Amino acid sequence: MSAKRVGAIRLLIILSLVLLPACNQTPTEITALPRAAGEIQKVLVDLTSLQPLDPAAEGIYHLWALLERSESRSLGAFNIGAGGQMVDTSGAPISEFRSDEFALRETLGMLITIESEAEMPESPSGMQILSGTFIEGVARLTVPISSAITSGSGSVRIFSPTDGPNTNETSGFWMVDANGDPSVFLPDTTAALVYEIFVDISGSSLKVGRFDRTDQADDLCRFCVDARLAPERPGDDLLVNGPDGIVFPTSLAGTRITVSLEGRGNDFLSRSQLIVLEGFVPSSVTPEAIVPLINRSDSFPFGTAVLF
Amino acid sequence: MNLRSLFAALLLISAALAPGETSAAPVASPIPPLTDEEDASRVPGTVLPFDLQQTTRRDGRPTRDPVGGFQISFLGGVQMRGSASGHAGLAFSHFKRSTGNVGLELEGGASRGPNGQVSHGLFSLILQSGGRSSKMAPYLAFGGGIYYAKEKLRDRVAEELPTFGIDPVEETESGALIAFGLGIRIFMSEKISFRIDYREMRAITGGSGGLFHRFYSLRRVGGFLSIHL
Repeated sequence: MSAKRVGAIRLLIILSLVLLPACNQTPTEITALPRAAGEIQKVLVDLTSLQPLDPAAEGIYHLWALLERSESRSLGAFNIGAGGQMVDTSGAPISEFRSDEFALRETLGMLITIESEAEMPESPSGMQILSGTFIEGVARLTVPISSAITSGSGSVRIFSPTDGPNTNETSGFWMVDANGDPSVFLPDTTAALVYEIFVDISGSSLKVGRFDRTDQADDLCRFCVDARLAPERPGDDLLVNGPDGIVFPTSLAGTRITVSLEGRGNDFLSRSQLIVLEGFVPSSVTPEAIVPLINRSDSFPFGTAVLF
Repeated sequence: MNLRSLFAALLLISAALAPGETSAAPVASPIPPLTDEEDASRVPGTVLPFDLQQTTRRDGRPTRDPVGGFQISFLGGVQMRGSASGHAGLAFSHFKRSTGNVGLELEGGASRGPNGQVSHGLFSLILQSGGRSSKMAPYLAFGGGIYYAKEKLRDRVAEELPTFGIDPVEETESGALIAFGLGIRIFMSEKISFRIDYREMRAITGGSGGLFHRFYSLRRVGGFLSIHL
């Protein structure tokens, strides 16, 4: 082989080696060619009924791309503006998310969590509020709980067993019927979400307890007198350990009782927006009254994410 | 940069420039050259035995040279970027008979996946080594060409785009591309060979930014089934 030819080959090889790293493999702008080859430029997100958060007290929404092998990558933080539209952390409207960190075509699903604004985690650790799996490039985002939540129902019985019979009988409520059976029917919780009972009384929301199943007691008998006398069902008697400004024992008359979904790993002071059941105790409530709980899961947020 | 690509390129450089393959000095052949009498006794059109397993270089070009001449190749492979679509094509090539080392190839191919179709035409210079001295011949390829892409929106995506104020228009794009790659040809018989081919095709897209920010890698791994005409 002549020296001239060897020189030409070497020149081509050097040119290739220069071009290989020098040219970006993916262009700055995703045009029709990369899209035809299967690349994804952005994730479009449309959300309905998601409520604004106070970043200092309630954290901030975080969008995650769910990948293979249970991996997840952050697509950024956002909040909901006064008009219900998505806004970025500086308050500017947004509806799409991009990433230079990974190929969006690898995204299998989408997850929205509520994370503390102070410490942005590398993986989802906050309350999971919406999630969905991409099918043909579109994911329907729903609250990650069984669809049977829409048929959840029940009632609470007004009585206070933990301080003995016939005393402060309108100060307690329990999810149990007269036969001792559960009076509330809800699907089981998930690894991420748990039910929590709140009572709105005198302008405050009291956290009563968390539970996973309605046929078991909740995790607290926070305001009761003797937990041994409590039914093995969720509920509480508002008899002792009252918060500042509220004198216990107190009657439940005129109060609001809710069961909401909360992040299992989070313990925010305030109730989440995922109220499952809601009941109002009449101001003329009497002992052994049955207060119906109304299903509010139709107010759950939902949304759509599109890989485009 | 993809280190595996660089490593593979370096391996091929070594193979392409190996002295045994590029030396102009002939090696003594174990097969005695044909005498004039033997040469004259050959029946026109018959093919001399071509031992694909031999490992030493012939000092004379056989009458029918399987390395040089025209070839038609059927291409199948996978587009390694994006949704890893299947790739198919057809190629015509000609290798110089005197050496068999240098060839020109005209290739047309298309990848079709769930998001659209990308077609290309590619003209390549192929530098291969060792075709007459071994059953396998590594090669380098350099070239350029054109592409045409037509995206296809998935039905569900097209339905949702108006929600975001985006018209569900399926766009097309065309432009130039450069290509470089490497491979190895395996001689299966006198008239048929198979090429395992890795090709980096860098298409120049019409997006914003400088030239280097508009390249898109259409990386392809494929096989060429070549028929030597």
